[in-house]
Amino acid sequence: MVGKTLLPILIIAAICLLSGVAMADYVLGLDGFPGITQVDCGRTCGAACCQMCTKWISTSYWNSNQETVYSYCHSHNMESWSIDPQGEGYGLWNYTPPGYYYDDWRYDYNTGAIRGTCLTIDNYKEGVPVVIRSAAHWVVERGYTGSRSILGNYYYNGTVVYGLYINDPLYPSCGGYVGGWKWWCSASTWANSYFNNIPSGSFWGGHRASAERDVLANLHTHQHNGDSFSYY
Amino acid sequence: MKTILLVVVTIMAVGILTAPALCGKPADSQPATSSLDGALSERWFAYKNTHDIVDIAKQEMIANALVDDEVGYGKDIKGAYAIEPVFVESQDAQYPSYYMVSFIGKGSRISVLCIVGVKDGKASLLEVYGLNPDITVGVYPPVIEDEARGIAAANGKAVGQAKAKLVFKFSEECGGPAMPAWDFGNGVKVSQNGKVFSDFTPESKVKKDK
Repeated sequence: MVGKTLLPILIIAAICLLSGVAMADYVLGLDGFPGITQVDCGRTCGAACCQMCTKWISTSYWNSNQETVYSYCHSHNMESWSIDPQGEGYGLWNYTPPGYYYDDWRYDYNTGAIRGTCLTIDNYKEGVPVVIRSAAHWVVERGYTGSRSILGNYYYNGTVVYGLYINDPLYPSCGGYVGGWKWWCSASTWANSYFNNIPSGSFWGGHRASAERDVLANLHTHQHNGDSFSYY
Repeated sequence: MKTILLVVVTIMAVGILTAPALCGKPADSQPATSSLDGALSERWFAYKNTHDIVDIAKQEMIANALVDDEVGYGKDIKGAYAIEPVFVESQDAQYPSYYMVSFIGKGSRISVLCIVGVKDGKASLLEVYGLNPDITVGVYPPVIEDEARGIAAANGKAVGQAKAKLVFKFSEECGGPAMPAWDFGNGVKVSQNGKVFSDFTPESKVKKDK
């Protein structure tokens, strides 16, 4: 009787154990995420990123006219950028369905920036526009590979992000490189060579900047470090 | 019998709970901190020749979970073969020199391009690019040395048969490490977009300085 009861449990336990062993890595890439090229090489990368992210969320609410998206974002800038992180956040908010709220984020540390943006990708299953190379360009982080999901394991030290999948609007008409929609970069290189600090003299100076979800919809700027989230 | 079965179930339950923490990369079982993101995955290995560079590219694609069929490069890399890696000298303080490792797939076109960084006799996989289906590239870099020589000559720069080297710097001329420029010396460089220039131009910014 005992054997009959425990046998199925043993089988289920064995299957769970084996599947646990097989799940050594975590891969999230938002397969099918749209790729959109910027129409103006020096100006509309942020608008193209906004289009990619909003089209992924809703083909009814996104706007296919990149210049219109650019004008909306640019008009909501805080500073003299083509599109600054605040303008980008407003663009994401404007071209998504009601109830979707976005904000500009400032990250203190490179690893916190990677974890924070990966957490958003994982939690909401959507892309995150980030400013790269000292405010030279906007690209979209749309996935990552790691030791396990950041979601639910954010503070677990054994959770390691290996690298990120990125969509770059620069390709191909503006001299970008082959593979703009299928680019993976190791987390270390991403943190050190790409997703680096905004130059001083800006509200976002000395921080990594992105535009991401704001669940509380208060449209404040968030500040984040490797250990905690807090409002600025 | 009952005791034995309970012991087995207990052991398996412990196994289930600890499996995620014990699996993954070897480094994962070590006490890590959030500041080690990337550092644990960007592993640097000693190399002797370009065969080692190709092996490191393949090995680290697997280690970084990049051979997933749906999200990663699994389908692109299946049946593909690597050609001789091409060395690029970095002139950017934020980026090491590197090899471009091209994998030739369907249609004799490059399906995957790996950037393998090198420094101090060690190499590591830094970036991977999948081929955009809208582009047909059979060689990499797209502008080969002889073509660059012709472009320079057409722009009034007589470079003769001077041997060129590939150089990279984050700049207007190089969109990224996959777009290095040919350097013929004497201030003559040719970008992958066919621009002839002498010095790299700093990248324009989305942040416009007043």
